[in-house]
Amino acid sequence: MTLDRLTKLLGSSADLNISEANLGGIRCAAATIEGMASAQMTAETVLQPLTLLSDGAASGAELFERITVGSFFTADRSTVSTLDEAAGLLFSGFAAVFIEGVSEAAVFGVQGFDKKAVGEPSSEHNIMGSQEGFCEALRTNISLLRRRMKTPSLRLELLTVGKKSNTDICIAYLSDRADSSVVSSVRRRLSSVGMDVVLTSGTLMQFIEENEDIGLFSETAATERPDVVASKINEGRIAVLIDGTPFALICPSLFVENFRTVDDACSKPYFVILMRLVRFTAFFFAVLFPGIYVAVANYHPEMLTLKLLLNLTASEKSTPYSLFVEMLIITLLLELMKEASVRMPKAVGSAISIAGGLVIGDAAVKSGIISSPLLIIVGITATASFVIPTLAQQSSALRLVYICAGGTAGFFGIAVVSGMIMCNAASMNGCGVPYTAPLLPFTKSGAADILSRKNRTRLEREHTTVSDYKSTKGAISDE
Amino acid sequence: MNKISSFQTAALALCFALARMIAFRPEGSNMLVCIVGEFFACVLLAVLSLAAGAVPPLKNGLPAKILAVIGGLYCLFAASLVLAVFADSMQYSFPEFYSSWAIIAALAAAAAYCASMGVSACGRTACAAVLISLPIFLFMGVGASDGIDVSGLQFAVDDRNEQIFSHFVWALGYSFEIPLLFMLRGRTDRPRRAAVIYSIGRTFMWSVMLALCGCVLGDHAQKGLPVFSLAAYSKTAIVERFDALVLLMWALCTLLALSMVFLGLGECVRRIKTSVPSSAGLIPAAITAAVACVMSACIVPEPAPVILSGMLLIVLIPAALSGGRAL
Repeated sequence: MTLDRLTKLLGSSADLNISEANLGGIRCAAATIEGMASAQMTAETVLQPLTLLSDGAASGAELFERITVGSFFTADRSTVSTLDEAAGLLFSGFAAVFIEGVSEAAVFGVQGFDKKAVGEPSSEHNIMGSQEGFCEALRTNISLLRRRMKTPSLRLELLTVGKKSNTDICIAYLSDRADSSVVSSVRRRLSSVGMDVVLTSGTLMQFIEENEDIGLFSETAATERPDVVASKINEGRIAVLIDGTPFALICPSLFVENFRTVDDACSKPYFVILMRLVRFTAFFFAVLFPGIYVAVANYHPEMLTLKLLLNLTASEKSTPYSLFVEMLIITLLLELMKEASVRMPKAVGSAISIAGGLVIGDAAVKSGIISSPLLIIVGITATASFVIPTLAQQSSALRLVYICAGGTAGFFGIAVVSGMIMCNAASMNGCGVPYTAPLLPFTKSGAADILSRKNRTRLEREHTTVSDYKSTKGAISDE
Repeated sequence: MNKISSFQTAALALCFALARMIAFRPEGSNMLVCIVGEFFACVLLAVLSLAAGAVPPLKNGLPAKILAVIGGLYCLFAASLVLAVFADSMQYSFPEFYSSWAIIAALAAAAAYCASMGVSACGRTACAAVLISLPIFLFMGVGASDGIDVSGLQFAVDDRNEQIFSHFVWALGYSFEIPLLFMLRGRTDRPRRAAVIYSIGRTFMWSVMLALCGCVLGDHAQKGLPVFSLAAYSKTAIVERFDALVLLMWALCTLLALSMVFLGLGECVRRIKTSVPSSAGLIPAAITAAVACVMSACIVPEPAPVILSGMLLIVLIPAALSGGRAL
């Protein structure tokens, strides 16, 4: 009867496996989902012990007690009393044992689905750090994190989001470092996600962020490196691991963290300063350089030295469009090629570089549609935008905004747009922590880490958490 | 109520002072004389704001509402004047590029947006603006250092006392940020500390810049916009002239100054109608103010500094007296 109801509930699903047996006069059945549970594990850890334990059992209730209380089967074991609960666990790779005359079912974790092995992170390369990245399986990702944080204060809370997808997610934090109110807030936000299907970390990101609608930047970071997650939760942050995606979310995230890498910890302090300066400059180039170029050339050419000005004038003379239009065209072309190289198969990617770099670029200059200095500007901008991949979206959008501002109103436009963007970024308070901290509001200990890294003494002595930025005087405001 | 730090409040007020400094026209006054006039004005304003900062924000009631209405009108007036002065000076410096209407509309809309982001966002941005302005002015000074001649600063001018008094009155009248500091004292962590930081910063900034203008430009600093003249003179290996960078700082500081006025206006609106939530009251107030600014900036003629000084003192002296009693 129960089996019929289960089959009906699952719509006679093709991947539902039910094996029935009569063990010493007691009718039993084991149900699994093909591909989610390991057949070998089911046989060795559930079916075989069940057969042995059924010897001498007088009733179904006695057998049920033997397998749930009187023996070890698998480490992950529990009982369920409703079919919905049983179905949920079956889909997560459990085996459910139904015994005649017992209203409950025993479930055993025998997960054995196919998954990608732990590999190198594809988007966050480093030189001296770990080469392990998260994979798509949540349990594997949890183990990767646990291996790096062998402390009892590491809390791993499992939740399910998505009405249809029932995606497993895990909130990870250190109980002695994370702010409990922030943990509650994140838990509440994630529990209230009303979507049907949650497949990517980006989908959940918008539910965690407070200023998602108006914020230009993101208060939540994504990473596929377990060492980064471990280091962040040690700073009192909260990580969210999502089943089916190798990207973990970290909240809150600060603007300056986009300019830090794992290798900074392994490098000499002077080199860290140099590299951070390079990254900040790269962001400046990626966002502002084309806009400033248009503004200078159109409105304030007196800023440039005479030789440079003469060179620019000579190269611009032959082009049919205004500099502003040229810059817009070439920037849009750049975005087009970037999008194409991301979406196309890897094998075709090199063809796009050839087509973009050689054919379009060279031909555009030779035919006189675009001037060669402009191509240099866009080349520098494109290279700079790859230095900070976490701010790629913002760089692309803001670059266009700055080109329009510089092209229509020169430095006045750039100033006005800069003011608005800075206000927008400064208004963000993810989980109560200002996005622009530790510079704005200024925190002495944190500000020292903007350009450099902590030395040995400070690493041993200081245990800065992200909550420290909340308690600073400038951070007390929250609109 | 949520508050911002004294540094952020001071930075907002300093943006006001920076914008005013860049658009400063000495009208024939010697730079050293202007520095002295500015110093006296700063000292008086510092004393008044320190005393006024001790006044606790009024509880809701009819007097508070009347004061809020007066404050709101003052904010509208200040916003329109800031916009008018900026547009006028822009026309003076870059007549071929910008139209007054476009400048006023763009700046008022952007300031309304910034104000809608909240007082903390504006405060933090103001800190960033002040920080960015420092290296720009430093490089500008370095670029002009070869022309420094201390004899350009003359204190022995014929009508010295009149010039000092004239600049003193001008500096007093155009210090719109002082009443705003008073209005926003409820939103500031330590308002009196903010007043001290602001006064020191303003005095230092004005003194250094005007002294540099006087030393480098000599008598030429007495005409037009001396800071822009200095920017045009200054030259480094990379940047031939600093006009554009000064324009950048000027527009940014004016934007934040205007945002501060809108924040003050929002504060007044909340005092008049307490049930209005902070963000909801601020945006329509700012938009209304922006429209009013666009209209008034092109219609209302620039008032005499004496009238502006009178208006400021009428607000500040009673507040300072009651603050002094509270101390």
